[in-house]
Amino acid sequence: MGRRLWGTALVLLLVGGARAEDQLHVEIHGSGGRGYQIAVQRFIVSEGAEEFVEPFYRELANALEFSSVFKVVDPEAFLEPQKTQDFGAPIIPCDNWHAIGADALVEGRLERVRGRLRARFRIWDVLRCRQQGQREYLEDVPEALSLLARRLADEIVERFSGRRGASATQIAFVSDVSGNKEIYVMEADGSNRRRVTDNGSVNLFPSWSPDGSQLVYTSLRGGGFDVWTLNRGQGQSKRLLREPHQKYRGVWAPQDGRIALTMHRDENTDLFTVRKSGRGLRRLTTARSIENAPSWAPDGRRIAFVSDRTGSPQIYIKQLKSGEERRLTYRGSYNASPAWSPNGDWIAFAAQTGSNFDIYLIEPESGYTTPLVVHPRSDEGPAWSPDGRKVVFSSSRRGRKELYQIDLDGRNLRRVTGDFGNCSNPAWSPWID
Amino acid sequence: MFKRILGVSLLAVALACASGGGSGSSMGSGSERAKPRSDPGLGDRGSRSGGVEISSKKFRSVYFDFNRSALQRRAKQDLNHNAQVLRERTNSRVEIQGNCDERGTEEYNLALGMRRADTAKRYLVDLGISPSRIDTISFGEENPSVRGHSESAWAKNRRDDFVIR
Repeated sequence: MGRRLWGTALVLLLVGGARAEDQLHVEIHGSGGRGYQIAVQRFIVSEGAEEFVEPFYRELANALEFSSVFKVVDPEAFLEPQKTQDFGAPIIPCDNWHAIGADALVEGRLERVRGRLRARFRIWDVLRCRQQGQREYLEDVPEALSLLARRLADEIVERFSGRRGASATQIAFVSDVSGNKEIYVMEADGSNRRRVTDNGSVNLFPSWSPDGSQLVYTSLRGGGFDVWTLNRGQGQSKRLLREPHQKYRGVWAPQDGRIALTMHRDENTDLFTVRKSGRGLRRLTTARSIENAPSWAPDGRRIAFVSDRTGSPQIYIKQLKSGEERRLTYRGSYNASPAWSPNGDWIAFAAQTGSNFDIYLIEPESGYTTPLVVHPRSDEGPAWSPDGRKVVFSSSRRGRKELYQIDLDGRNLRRVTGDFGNCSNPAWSPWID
Repeated sequence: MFKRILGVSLLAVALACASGGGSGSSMGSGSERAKPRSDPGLGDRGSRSGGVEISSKKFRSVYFDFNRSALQRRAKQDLNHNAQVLRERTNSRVEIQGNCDERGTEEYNLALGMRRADTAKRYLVDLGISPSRIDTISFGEENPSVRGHSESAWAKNRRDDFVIR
């Protein structure tokens, strides 16, 4: 099963990029090894930027490893100087790099230009001894050092794999660390947590707009659950709709300004879509059963959702144009929280056994199902990284609910929150430029 | 099947506690909870303090089986009682608050709590209470009356509360 997953992931890597010919072939073994060994040299610095070299190196190395595409070669093994000697030279001693197991090399220069930080770098395919790309970044403030390093890492990942990395993205989630459930945002690696709602009520289900500038979330503020939108620049929330009915879990469509949500009306819970302006409310489902938990397909033409029309919660897919609804899950008596992967190949969902959930992946066409996270304690609420390489979810394996990430092949399980109350409802941001 | 029986027997214990100490366990918190829609949220009214009771004045909370919204015999008796309270207080409106235990997903439990509130409302309307006097709301799993991860805690949390508005 693991092999099957990797087969799919590998194909995507190879066909994913426009510059596929220039890319190395990633050799990912069935056992799930990392694709590349990469050597990162300490960047050359100009005067005034010395203090940034080490933190920049660490951030870059961490972000490259975060991708799961690269393994950073131990600098101690270097035959060459650890520091870039002559940035801009037409060739590098590839044999020496190859000898220590490096498939790729990053070298660069870091300088201060009128208060801004400039990073220039080149990446090398050591095997073919060919420059794989170069780029220059300019950031306004040195505080953006970490972001700069992560953006650089994500681009390096793209040059070698065809798919951009996701280290420079964010995760919105719910935590009750303040005493009630508020929405927070943190970096993809779990650092820099900050609160985005502060209303003392119950806040749930954050979802990002396609450009990352807005969040839609559910709040009990004002009495009764309702869907609110929040412009991240302004910090002012407003209700999406005026209808006095209970509404929750607004989910932004990947391409446009539509939002799918659940509304309870006339003693019936159904799915609706509405434009982000709050206009154009359209009812999607009409069954007398519960229909909720929408997740958009990346093409915006289908929605996965949960219905208990057969007596237990199961996952269905609706074609928006034809209106056709098709049942997807048949195994088990409680399948919920569908999350469609960014490339459309998988739907992650939570399946209940006893009183605990495990996380599975299912192919929306074939129905082929494979476990992703199975543990005696509960694992819930899966959400995908924008590059589709990782799933973030909440787990109660250490008692309180905490957020974890895992690679699509089931490797690199990593806890991203700790000592922060109960954390749940993770939503991974799109790439934010 | 065993679980089902266990659940029912625990439910009976829970109900015995709830009705035995019914007026005592309301302990004035009912009045604090009497204006839920103007409240900022649940944080201020008990979920933080580890659970509160709940149905205000002379109302009784109504309990449900796991993942169900059907009314059991005991639930109907309690609803009959609540209907009588409403008949005696012709000017009052009631808000039925549907709740779930912590199992299940948060979003499904929001819908299930609403279904539980709707079920009780329909029953009261069938008993002659005007639907215009009844509001419904769901708190899903966000307002447990009892903290804990045991069947006995869950049984007390799968409930409708009745609050005078």
